[in-house]
Amino acid sequence: MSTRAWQDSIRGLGFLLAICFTRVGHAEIFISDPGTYVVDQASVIAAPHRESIERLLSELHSATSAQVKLLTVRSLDGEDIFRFAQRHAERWVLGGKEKDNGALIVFVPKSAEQRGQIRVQTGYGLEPVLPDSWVGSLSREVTQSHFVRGDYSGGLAVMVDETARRIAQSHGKTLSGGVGRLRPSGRAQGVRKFWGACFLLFLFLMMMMRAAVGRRSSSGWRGLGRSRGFHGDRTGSWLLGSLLWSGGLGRAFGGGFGGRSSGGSFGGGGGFGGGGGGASW
Amino acid sequence: MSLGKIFLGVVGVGLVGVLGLGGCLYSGYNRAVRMDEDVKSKWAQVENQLQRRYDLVPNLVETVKGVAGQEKEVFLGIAKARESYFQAKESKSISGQVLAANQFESALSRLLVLRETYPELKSNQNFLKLQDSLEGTENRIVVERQRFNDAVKELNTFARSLMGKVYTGLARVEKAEYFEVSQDAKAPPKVQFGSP
Repeated sequence: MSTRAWQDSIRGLGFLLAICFTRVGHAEIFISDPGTYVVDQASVIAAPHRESIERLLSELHSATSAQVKLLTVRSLDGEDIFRFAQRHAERWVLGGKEKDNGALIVFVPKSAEQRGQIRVQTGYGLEPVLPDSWVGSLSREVTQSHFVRGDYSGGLAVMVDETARRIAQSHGKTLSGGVGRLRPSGRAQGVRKFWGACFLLFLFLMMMMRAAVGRRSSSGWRGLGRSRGFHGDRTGSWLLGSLLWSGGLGRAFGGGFGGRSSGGSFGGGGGFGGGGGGASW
Repeated sequence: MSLGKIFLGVVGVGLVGVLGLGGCLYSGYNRAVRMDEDVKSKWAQVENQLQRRYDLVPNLVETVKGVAGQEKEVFLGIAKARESYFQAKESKSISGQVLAANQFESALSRLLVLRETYPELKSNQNFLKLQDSLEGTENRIVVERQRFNDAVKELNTFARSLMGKVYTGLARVEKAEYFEVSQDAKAPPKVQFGSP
């Protein structure tokens, strides 16, 4: 064959091969786990809610080993939400290896192409704690009170709150963070407040001591034009300020210091059997 | 080279060959057994969920009867499908169970159609909760069935392969049947009963 014919046939072959290896039809979306507890792809969660949800889920994780994540997407691309949630929950591998204590909350806002939907996918370990009927009732309730009115952010905060609280309750713990329609009552909070107050007192005393020490050394350093002595003062008040600002007196002894890590997505396990519930509007 | 050395060489090679063959047979046999066990355990999972579904059904039926007592045909259909499942389970027939399970799905969809005829069902809290539980179980069945079918596929593919035939024969492992979804099942595979 002539060179021209060879070139043509090679091109033809290449084209054929390309067709063979190209997948026809749309590929399934997959969003990889970025490591945080809140994955707001649809950008429907307001910043303060996102922070409080993130903190709550982090606290839940460290207190109970239950790993719950929230994923919002703009569109499911025609896929069924059960399948979408199941796929992601399995691949994100939520929950400890032995306990399969994971849950994934998937949310899709209402749009021209699809209904608004919420789905909670529960792992094997959480199935007894989050029964399908309870999840269904909660989803319907939050849908009626928040989602149909467009309050996605607030509604999601409530969903996460109720879910986290129920999980914590089943482990005999109470969480300090969250939006909270139901505040945990009783002694747990009282004890926390007491120790929180002690801690503050301690800090205050430290500040006083530092100030006292500082003044002495600052007078020594003054000759060199540095006022190092005031550092102690500033550090103390910064610590105090940030504690007060974060709003949790109990948090000093709660999960606050320990649980600062981002959502652990590299835990093993994560068995999801398809349990859960949801609602649509 | 002396005859003795050649002889030793041949014996050596032969020994290596035998060991190699033995190793292959050993691992192949184990693999067949492992796949068979995997299929069995995944089927057990499917059975668990099916059992759960059939356990939930009487409650659901009672709730609906309270509202739509006269729809006797529907209730009969469900009772029959349930009965045939338990019979198949008794006789340990997997294909029988699959058939019965698929029949149940069409009977169930007829029950759920009653929600349109009797809209008061949709606001009955009891009914909604049972519906949630049933939907959850149906979803779980879907997942376990998928996993079971994947395991069956692996086993069957292995059993049909060239060496696989040998290994499965040795281990007396047979091919498994898929849990086929019947084509005329009215209920869609991914179950979502509760859209208002």
